[in-house]
Amino acid sequence: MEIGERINKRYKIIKNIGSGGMANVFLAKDLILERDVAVKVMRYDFRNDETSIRRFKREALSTTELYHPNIVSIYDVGEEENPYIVMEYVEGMDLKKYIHENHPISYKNVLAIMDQVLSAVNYAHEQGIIHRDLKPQNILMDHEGNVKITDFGIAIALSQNSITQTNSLLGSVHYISPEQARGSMATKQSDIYSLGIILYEMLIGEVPFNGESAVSVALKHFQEELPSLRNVDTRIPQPLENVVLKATAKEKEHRYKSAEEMRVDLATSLFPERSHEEKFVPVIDDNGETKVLNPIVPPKKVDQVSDTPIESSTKAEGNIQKKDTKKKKWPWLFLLLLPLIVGIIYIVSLPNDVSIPDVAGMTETEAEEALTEQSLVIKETLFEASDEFDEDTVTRTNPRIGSIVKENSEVTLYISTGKETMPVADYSNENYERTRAELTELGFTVESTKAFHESIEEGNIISQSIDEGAEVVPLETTIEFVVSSGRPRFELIDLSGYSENSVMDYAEDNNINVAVTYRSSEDIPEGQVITQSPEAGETLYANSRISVEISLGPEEIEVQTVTRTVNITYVDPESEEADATNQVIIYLEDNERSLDEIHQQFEITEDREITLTFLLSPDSVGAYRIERDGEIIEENNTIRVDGQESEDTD
Amino acid sequence: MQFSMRTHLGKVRKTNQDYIGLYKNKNDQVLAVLCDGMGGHNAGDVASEMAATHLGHAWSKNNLLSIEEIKQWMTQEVNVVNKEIHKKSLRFEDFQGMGSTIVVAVFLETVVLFGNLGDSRGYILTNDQLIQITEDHSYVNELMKKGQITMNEAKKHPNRNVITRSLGIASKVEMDYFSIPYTDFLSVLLCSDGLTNQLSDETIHSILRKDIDKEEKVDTLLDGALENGGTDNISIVYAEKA
Repeated sequence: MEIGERINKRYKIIKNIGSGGMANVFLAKDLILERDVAVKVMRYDFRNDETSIRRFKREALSTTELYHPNIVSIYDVGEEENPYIVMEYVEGMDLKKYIHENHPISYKNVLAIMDQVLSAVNYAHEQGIIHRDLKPQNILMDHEGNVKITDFGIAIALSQNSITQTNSLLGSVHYISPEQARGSMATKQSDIYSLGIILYEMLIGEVPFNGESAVSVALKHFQEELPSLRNVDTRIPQPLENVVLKATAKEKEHRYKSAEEMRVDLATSLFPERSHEEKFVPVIDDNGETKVLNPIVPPKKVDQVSDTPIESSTKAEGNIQKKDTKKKKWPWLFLLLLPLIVGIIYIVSLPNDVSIPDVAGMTETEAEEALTEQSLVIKETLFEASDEFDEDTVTRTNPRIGSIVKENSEVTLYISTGKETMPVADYSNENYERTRAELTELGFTVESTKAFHESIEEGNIISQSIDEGAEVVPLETTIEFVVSSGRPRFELIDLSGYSENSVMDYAEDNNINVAVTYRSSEDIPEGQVITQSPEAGETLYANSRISVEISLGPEEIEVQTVTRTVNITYVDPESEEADATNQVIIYLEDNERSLDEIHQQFEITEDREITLTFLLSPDSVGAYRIERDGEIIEENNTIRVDGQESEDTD
Repeated sequence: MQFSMRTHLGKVRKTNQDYIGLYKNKNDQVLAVLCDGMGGHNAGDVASEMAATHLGHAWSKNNLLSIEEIKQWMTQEVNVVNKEIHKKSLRFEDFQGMGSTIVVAVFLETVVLFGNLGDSRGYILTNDQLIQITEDHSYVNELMKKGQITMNEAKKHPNRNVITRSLGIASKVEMDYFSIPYTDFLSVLLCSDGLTNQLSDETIHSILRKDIDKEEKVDTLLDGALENGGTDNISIVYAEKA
């Protein structure tokens, strides 16, 4: 990306404002809305990888629904040469730099920053989005002291498992929870762990676990106890250290249940009433189950003088204390002092500030009692689903738990209706990978088995283990899909040596048709396959056709007997001898004999008729040659069966 | 030994960032090199090619014989090319962050010497199994060696793609060496993770034990990896006793 270059014709690059392992971030001008934006451009292009592009877009788009003053807004997601995300531009610095430049930061300031961070994280958690990569580099601070968290939920969109990376973990590994370092799925408690580490860094000025490599840092997250904050800075109140300790407990069950719980605990950690609290230690309870020793915050009245505007006291009529009424003796003095007295009365008559007690997890009745005890009034009771709190217990209040309010303020109670259920949809014929990604994001555990299917395309879902319409709690539900591997198919085996019957059995087992032809073969025994088509190893679908040739065994040679009668003429040999003879030699060729050998030899003294017998098969040719006294008198090499011989005899 | 090798783009990537090569030194000893590059647009293939060709060129000019000499030589040359890649990556924006894994096998008189950085692997084949000789320099393998996660957890870990040693990233690198006598194996396999992420050790073993020639074996491995997804570049160098 060059300065001045435009992305999607709309975002004009002004300058590079950051480079990370997976992305570069640019300040750009949105030419349509004429505002500054930050554009995060992925370093990797997965142009050929449709799945990754879809996943990236889905993940990034899911975060565009987060509207919170402390979360960087996502404006646009797209891909040009590389995928990119357009988001709110925050002018200022990240928390890492802020800590570096401002350490030590006052506790009050630490609390103010963390309060914004925690309310943003809590909001996102309520929307079902986990950050997964919280670190000071992802927490931006503008010049007014507003905090904005960036990269919400896109840690997954940014990770490309098949791309080899080095060092990409180093930025995050200092803040990563032990379970994430082990590769388990990130939960709300994983974000809370990271927030605990960030809080530690804000208080101490550096991260608790450091090392030369990602692995050595990860090992410390697993094994080492968090270094004591109070050893480094003895002024840190115990309840404040406890917030860090509880947030960073190794076992996620020991951590805060929600960012809201952590926010409340942190917000009250400097209250003098809490200064006596013991150091937080997770403990094992009698049943052998691990239980958290939770320093309970007794809801306390707050005696600090509030800065809140005076008009909120108007509700507190009738509570005026009768002091100084005897001062009538000096009416003039009274008159003189009147404004002062009125002022004093006014102040002492103000309703007290109370903090909204931690009623989360209580039943409605218990919560009512706790609120009444604090002179708070229940405005209304609303119901909402909650993964965290059991049915019929309080999930939260409005104003939030821990908020400082006047006595007699109205508080809305939210009661859990139990875990949020959702109806299962009909996924048949949907793409499995896409469905898996969607459902996993919703919290489902998704499993699959493969099966062939005649009509459902490979990779699409054939059936599901939970019926459409069933109401389930995603986090507690495993849904199993049968995914199509395409049409039933198999690799054709080598059928040579198979008998016709075995071929038929094989065809039946695999649901294919066979065309059989027969021919004789010298090499292949009768009844076995000579050739097959297609060849072995070819992929076949059901109902396709193969053909085989079956051997009839060696061809039977039909030998026929063919006879020829020839006349051999006697020639007087002009010799003195009286009974002179002609010497006759006959050569004969057929299936069994050859013209090279003498067939018959005899002498004649008169003409003789002789019959020659040939053994011939339909395609063989017989021949003979007759010599009389060394002279060829007759020859024929066209003897065939069926008397087809041509008459070319000499 | 007889060699056969292939490298393939795969089905998803736009560029092949793997590089493989066979080189002989003056004593006719063979050095097999396989590099799997990483980083940006055009950078990964630059890094892997630089690494393999530099090492190959340098090998062709030496006449070393002893294992110890060769290890020393290798460490030195690998550090030279590491520095070159690192410098180049700092100098040009396009090359920012480029690097490469490397696995080598040197075929000596009586032993094969393996060396590696990153997660490209060297294996030997015996009658019964495929044995990985090199140890991956990866985040998950190191956690596994420390007993923190199981093999199964490692296979599913979202950071399984993170390697802890490579060429071109740090200013100094340390290669690990393993030497295996010829009597211990039938053949030697070097490959990139594009192969081993797609095919199990058992499948690879059964293909390499087939009674087919070495080219066919390598082709069969490649086809198998492609069929199972081919999401990454796939490279294979295979050496069989003659």
